[in-house]
Amino acid sequence: MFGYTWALMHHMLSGIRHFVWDLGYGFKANEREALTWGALIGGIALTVLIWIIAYANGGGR
Amino acid sequence: MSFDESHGSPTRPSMRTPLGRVRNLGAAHSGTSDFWRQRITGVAMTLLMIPALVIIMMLLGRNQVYVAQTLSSIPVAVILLLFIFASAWHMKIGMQVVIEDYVHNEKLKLTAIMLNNFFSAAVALASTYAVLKLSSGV
Repeated sequence: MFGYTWALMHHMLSGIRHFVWDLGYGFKANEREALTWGALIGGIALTVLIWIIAYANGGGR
Repeated sequence: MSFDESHGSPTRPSMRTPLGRVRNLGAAHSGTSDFWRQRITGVAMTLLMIPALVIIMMLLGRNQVYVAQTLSSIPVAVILLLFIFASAWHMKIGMQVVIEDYVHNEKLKLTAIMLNNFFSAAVALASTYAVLKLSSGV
């Protein structure tokens, strides 16, 4: 489930990156790099955050 | 080689517009509708992600009675059903694009696309049935 959460979050953030490109922004080389790294790191961060909240809400119940 | 030479007589200039010449020539031979639906379902899931996660977390470690009680709420059930609908459709289009782009044998490609449709429909229907069963308490 942890791995699936990561896959989902990474896919969502990469999808948002594509929405940004669809709207015509973020095409410069440094912006592309930043968005890609943002999706990678943001996906890991969101996954960890979600599981911290899940356990705080009694995930081991 | 230009599209003019491959899709019209090179000696007679075509009156078709550039868009008309390339329309339906993508790997799917079906224009941009799947592209657009992939965006619609993607935006839908991005919006539904937080409520769906909150609902799933409410159900963590709970027993079936509690889950059935939670899903009997109409907004909760509708959010989950919308998420199932959007994700199954998104999954189906995404897999189909990969098949169309990378499977070059025509018969194999059509078979794979058909199996992909069956699989996605089965996943969508099974998930929908599960939510409806729990939310209606039968």
